[in-house]
Amino acid sequence: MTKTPVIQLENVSKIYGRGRAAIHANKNINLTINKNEFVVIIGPSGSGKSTLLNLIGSLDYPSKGTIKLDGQNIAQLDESELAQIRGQKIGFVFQSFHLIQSMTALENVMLPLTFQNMSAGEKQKRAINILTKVGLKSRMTHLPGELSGGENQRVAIARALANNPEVIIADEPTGNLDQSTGKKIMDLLLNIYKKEGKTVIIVTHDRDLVNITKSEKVYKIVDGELV
Amino acid sequence: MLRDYFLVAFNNLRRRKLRSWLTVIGIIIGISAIVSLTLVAQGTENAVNAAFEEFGTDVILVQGGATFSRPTPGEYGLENKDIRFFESFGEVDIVIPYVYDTQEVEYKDEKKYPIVYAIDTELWGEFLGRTNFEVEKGRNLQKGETGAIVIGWKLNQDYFEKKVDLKSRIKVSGKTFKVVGIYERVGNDADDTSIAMAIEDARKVFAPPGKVTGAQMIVKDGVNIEEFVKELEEEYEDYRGDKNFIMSTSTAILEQINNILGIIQYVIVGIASIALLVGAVGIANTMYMSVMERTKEIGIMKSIGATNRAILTIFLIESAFFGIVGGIIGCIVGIIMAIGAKLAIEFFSPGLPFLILIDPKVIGGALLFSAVAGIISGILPARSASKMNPVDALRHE
Ligand SMILES: Nc1ncnc2c1ncn2[C@@H]1O[C@H](COP(=O)(O)OP(=O)(O)OP(=O)(O)O)[C@@H](O)[C@H]1O
Ligand SMILES: [Mg+2]
Repeated sequence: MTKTPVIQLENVSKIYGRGRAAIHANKNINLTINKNEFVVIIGPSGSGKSTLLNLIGSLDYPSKGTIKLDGQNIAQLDESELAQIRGQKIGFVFQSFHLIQSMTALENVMLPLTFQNMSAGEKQKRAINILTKVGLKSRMTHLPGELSGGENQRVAIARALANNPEVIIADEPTGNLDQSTGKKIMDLLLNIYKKEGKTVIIVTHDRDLVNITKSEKVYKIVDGELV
Repeated sequence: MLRDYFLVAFNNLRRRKLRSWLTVIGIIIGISAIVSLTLVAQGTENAVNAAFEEFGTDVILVQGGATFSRPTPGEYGLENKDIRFFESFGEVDIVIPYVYDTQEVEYKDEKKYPIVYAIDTELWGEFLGRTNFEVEKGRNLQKGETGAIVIGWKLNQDYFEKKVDLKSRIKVSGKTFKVVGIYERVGNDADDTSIAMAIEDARKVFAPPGKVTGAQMIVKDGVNIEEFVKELEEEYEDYRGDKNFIMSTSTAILEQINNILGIIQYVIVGIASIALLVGAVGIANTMYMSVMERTKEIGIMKSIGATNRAILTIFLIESAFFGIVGGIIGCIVGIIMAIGAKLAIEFFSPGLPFLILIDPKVIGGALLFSAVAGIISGILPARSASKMNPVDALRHE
């Protein structure tokens, strides 16, 4: 099997603030992620993991270096092209779910499709399909406040999958969940990697979960640098 | 796509119902004030114009010894020779001299001092055709009829302790007259308590011989009344040898009144606009609060593919909604208020042809105005929402 690079980082740095107060959140990172890999990023708190995921997910521009997504340098894209990439190629999953509280599970999953100009019927069909796949068929009309943590994270994963992106990026997806629920979420993400052929990039603190993934691609980041 | 943005925007409005309504109320107050005041002002203008139309645009009014364009009771500033002077002009069709005075009127031992006016019975029809007076009961004075009067509506009600009716006998300045007719209600007390009689009778009872209070001149068709009145005024001044009279045309008076009404209209709409401005500031305030509270949501929407433009659109829909809904309800409330004002005016002054027309220009203008106010007050908050950095927005708690 030939390896197709999806994400390439070359000498990427991210600096927050300026002058004496500047924080070098990421320093000189070189990283290539190929299609259908399961990548785990670990590291202590404040080491720059989230910063790195945001850059990979084109949520932010790097201060230095180049980031290529499918061979395209994201520094050359403007705000709306970047938004299109986030909408079409990337699916985000966050530690605290980041669902819109006033919308039902179904509406949350349909929202990314709205920004892609999809017809109402098509949106609904797709969202129902994905929610069924993550095991929430009976919970679709519930608001996030009426669902458990694990269920919320399933909704978030369904939302990340809605536009059928190449890459799923999950920043501590189990951080707010108990051990066994966290394991189920991790299984779900593994399934997405194995059965759907997606590229999955996760950040986690949990050593046990890292072991479950049996991933060959585990990167450690310390003080903003890959080690 | 836009339809979906509407759904997202409405979802937000629904979530903060109370605040949304309070914001809308700000606009409702402004728009309803503008609409009702404009409609009432237009109605007033219509009423004035209609009253003048009835009076005619071919009439020159002249008062002797007066300083005011309305008849002054008890002034006898024109003499017979003045009337003949006016009649000598080829442009003048008819001259209707009249006597206008307050007199002691006695009915069943009760004395009052209403206005009594008198006209030559030959000219009676010509005169009445140009007033608000309409006989409701009985009849008008007939040509050459003496010893008879027509009374105002109020005399037939409670003006005197005992009600005056057809065939009642009333003493005017000590002489007894028979009531042959009663006018319809006009709406102002001076007219509704007045008594009309033949000029020959007035001369016998109270008016000085050979003198009248004023006259109406009706000019012939095709005469340029504005030019003619200037000429007449100059010549009459020479003839009289003094400036102690007032000559005016109904068109000139109408123009003056309409000018004043126009200024009043601008002033009240200006004041009402301040209310709308306050409403617009309310929208901006609500929108800023909403942007602040939803910072995280904005980050979420951006992380799942919302462009700046999409965020801007969603927030502008929300602020436009405040403006449009406020505008629609404001127009309805304004129309209801204007109709209420019309009913009140009709109640207190029934003869006035006060007409409220729901002018589509006013309504359309108010709706446009409110929608624009909504959008403009939303622009800055919506821009600040759309420009947010997604990473910072997501970190916001
Ligand atoms: N928007 C920002 N402005 C300023 N500093 C920031 C910003 N985002 C992150 N940082 C700083 O950059 C460093 C890396 O932060 P980051 O969130 O990437 O760490 P992390 O590895 O994800 O930590 P954790 O495990 O606690 O989530 C930290 O020192 C953080 O304070
Ligand atoms: Mg983090």
